[in-house]
Amino acid sequence: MKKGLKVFALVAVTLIVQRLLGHPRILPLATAFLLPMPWIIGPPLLGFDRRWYWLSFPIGLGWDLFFEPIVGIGAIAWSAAALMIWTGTSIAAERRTCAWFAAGAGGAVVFWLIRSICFLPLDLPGTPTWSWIGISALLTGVWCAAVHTVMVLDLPARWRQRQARRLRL
Amino acid sequence: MTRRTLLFRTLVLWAFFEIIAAAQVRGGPSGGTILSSWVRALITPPITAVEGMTHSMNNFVAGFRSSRALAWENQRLTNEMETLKNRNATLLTDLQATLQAAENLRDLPLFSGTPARCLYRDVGRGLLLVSLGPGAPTIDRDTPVLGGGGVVGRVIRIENQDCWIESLTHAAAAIAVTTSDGLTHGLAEGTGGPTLEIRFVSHRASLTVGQELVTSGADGIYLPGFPVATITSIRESDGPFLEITAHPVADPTTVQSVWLLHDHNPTEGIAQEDS
Repeated sequence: MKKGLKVFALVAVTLIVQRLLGHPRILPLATAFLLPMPWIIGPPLLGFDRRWYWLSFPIGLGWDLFFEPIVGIGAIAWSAAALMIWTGTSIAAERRTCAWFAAGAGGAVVFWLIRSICFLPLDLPGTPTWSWIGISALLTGVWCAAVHTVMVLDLPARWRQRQARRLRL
Repeated sequence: MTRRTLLFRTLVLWAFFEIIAAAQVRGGPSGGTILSSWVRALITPPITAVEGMTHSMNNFVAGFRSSRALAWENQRLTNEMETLKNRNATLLTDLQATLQAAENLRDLPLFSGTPARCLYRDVGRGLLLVSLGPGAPTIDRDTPVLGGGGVVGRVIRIENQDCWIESLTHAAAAIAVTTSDGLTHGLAEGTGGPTLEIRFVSHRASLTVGQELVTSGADGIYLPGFPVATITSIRESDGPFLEITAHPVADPTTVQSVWLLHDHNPTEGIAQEDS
């Protein structure tokens, strides 16, 4: 499977999981997680090429298809968050887990704010409260930090080392 | 790709997606999409401005045309007023001349006539051109003409409101005259000059220089009793008649206003006198 197609497939899976978080039997705060955020903050924090920035637009369009009443707003909001992250990482050289947390929380705040601003001229309901934005920022930051932690742990490599050690014994 | 390019493309994409979103939302007073209301809000001011400018331009053009029409009308009325002023002045002159003529005719027998103003005189041919003015009655040929205290001549040609008058001094003019007492009759003939010759007066007639001759009515044109000429010289001749020279009472070279008689048929006048 090609790398690009693989990324899109994973993004789609992420969106589907995000959709599942809104299931009535799941905790209401679960929707405060913005699961696609690692796809937005990951490339700049990992030092990927700048063209990865454009990935935010398809993610936003997919978000629109799954979670918004109209198409277009999510693309703007997610790309705004991506733009903020790309700008921030070019200024700050921090790449640790706390940076992932801050980027995730900041991206969530930017996402919700830009989404609300875009809703203003359209006279549409759905603007979140400040408390919801705070909760979402916190949880999204935690989610991003968790992703980075898992990436740092590199569990497949550890698993392979463990298997090799067992074979040597 | 520089940061500025990225930012510019992002902004373009944001605008594009916002437009896409606006095209999907229905709302506003007209019930259309938000995008249509935005487009309407964008288009309405220029359209209103253009309509206002067009309206103002039309008003300006209409005002300019009206002003031009008013200027023309004003010019026309000014010209008409000048014409009326001139006509009024002419009428005033005519009235003064008529009053003067009436003053001169105060001693004449009663008559009814139409006043006319002298426009042109040809002393050499003994012709006068007079104007009757608007509303004058129909004038016939051979209508007697009075003015300057006596008979001026007769109408020989009518041109609309103008009449050509043959003066008594015309070489071919002749008028039957008599003395005031009616004892002596004669025929006053024009000489082409300023004087008249009185013919067919016998040697036995008792005439004196300075005596006034009046119309006798015998020629069938002039009513009797109107002054014609004053005798200036009387000479005995070898012939059967006296050679009498007279000066017309009404000088055709100075007369300005004349009267054209209405009842100029002498036979009718004589018949009325007889009755």
